[in-house]
Amino acid sequence: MRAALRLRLRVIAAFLFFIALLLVARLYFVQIVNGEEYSLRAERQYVSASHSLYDRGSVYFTRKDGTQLSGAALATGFLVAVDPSKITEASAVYESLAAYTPIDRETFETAVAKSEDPYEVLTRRIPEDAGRAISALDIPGVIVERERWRIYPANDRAAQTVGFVAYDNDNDLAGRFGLERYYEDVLTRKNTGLFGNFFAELFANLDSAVGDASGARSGDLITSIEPVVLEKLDQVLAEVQAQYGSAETGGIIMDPSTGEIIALQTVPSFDPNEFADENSNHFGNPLVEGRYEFGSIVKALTMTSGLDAGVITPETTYNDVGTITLNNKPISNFDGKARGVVPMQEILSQSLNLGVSFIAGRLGHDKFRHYFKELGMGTETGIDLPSEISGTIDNILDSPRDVEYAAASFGQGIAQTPVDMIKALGSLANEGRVVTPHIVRSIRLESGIVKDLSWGEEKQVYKAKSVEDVTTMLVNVVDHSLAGGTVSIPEMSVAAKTGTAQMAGPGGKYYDDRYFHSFFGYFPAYKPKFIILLYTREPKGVRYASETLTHPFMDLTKFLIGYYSIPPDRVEYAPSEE
Amino acid sequence: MNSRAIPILGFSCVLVIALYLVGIAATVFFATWQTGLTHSIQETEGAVIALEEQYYDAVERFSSADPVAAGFHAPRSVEYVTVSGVSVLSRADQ
Repeated sequence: MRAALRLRLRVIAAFLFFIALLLVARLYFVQIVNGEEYSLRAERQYVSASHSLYDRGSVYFTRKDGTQLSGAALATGFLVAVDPSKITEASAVYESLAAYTPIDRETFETAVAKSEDPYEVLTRRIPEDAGRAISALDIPGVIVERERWRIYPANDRAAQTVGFVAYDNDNDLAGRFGLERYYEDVLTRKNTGLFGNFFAELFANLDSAVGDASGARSGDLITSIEPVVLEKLDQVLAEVQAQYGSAETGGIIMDPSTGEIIALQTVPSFDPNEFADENSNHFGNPLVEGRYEFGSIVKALTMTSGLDAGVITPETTYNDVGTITLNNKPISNFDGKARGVVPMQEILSQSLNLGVSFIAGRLGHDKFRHYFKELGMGTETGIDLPSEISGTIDNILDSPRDVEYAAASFGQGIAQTPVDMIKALGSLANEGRVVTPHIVRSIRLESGIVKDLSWGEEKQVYKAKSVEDVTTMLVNVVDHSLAGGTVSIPEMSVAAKTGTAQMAGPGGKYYDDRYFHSFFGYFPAYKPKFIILLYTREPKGVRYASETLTHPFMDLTKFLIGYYSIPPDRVEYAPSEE
Repeated sequence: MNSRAIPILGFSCVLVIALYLVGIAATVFFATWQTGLTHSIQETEGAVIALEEQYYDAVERFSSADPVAAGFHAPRSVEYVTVSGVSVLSRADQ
């Protein structure tokens, strides 16, 4: 028994001796044979300890077929740095590096001259192949490290909406504008470094590897923005901006039944890849941060409110005298001319201010205010973009003056953001229901699970019949009045209305020569798939929105009909061949 | 002390050391594997982004192209036909 025990103890001792021998041998190789190399590696690790690889969730656009395309992603490449103390022949090193990537000679010589500094960056963001080639040269004193950075493949398209990441004064890299900022908590990820490896952390930091809950929230954003439609919208807006020298031109295309925004853009825009060189005045998003008096497109809402409240019918007439006075203030048609006794259709067809003032008068203050508040005017829409401001309807909140309600009935004296406006107008294209405009459809978590976002319940503001009656009027506007009926599409019913508003200056006085043009429309009119809102601020040399925005709107409409293969809704079919 | 305690302790010691060594080997192996995969994914993502940039450029070119200048003409007339009904199976005697 004792002999057997002794034998076993000897076996164990021999095994432990063998392990110790292995460790000593390994230490010999680590410290003596490869000591210099490991020392260099450790030094690099020390001087660039913070150089863990940047990681962040992506933002995807969604094409009409459901495939996704990056709107914001991470690019991978290399940076090249030098340890000047180890550079022996600077000129030869420069020639070797310059063969693969452009490096300014002066920058190189300045960096190499700093012999006290063990880590001087020469160039960043060089492509994979060039980085690998330089690394393969194995030049003493030249450090090649992998790096990742944020990239926006769509460049200036929807730049204000996507936003960008940047350092702040505290040296924190985070989303600063747009979706990058609004969804910072979803997009942000722990940077992955040499020891940020799950298996290594199992031993080094079990707690964070298993128990860190931040990964459960983070992921990629999947938006409803369609890249081809976005490109078309961008081109159309840029043409308007260039043709009329406007201060700003913008547009939104939305699915009225869900509130999903298919495209949105404003020009001038900026390239988020080069934001440091761009005009910072363009970083904000006017679609949620700009408040405008939209003018006559509001008439469609006033008309619907009147029909819905039952104070008018499509057959109602009124006597248009051209100008009336309310609370000692004159209210006139755009041309000051009287029309005599006219039906409701003509109010929208001829865009008569006195007509909607008549409806506002019949509605009364309380009902008028009720409808506009129900549409969400005067409050934020809840869209998933940062810095959204609310519209203002202060003039009709508690004023006893009829003139305020008359002005509001044709879109003056109250102001909305473009997103606010399309939300309210969307009710006409959604059987009287208001939805919440939004951009992000779902979040793809790091686990791979796709979480669909909920954007709240629809709110019924108007009866479906009221909306249908106004839609018929707006279709008549396109078929017979807009550009003299020349832009009507025979096989597709399109409902639309123009708006031209005077712009208020400091002190609330309106400019005589500055206008805000707007245009909205939806189609197919009785089962809409899209609603479009366009605007241009301070166009030069032109007075009315019908001149600036009619053709851009119809251009977009025809494009969408073709791109989405929307079938005709009012064509006389030829007999099919059986 | 129980006479079997020493061999049990001895085997336990060997087992723990062996587990430790296997643990280290597995960690190094899987960490290397994961790092390699991560790099591979990042490189692929970079290649995809390059393709996506080409796609955006192509869309811009197509959208700004003038079809008339390219020799296309608007159709003189357009006719629409109703979609044929889906055929249904029926018995011959009906």
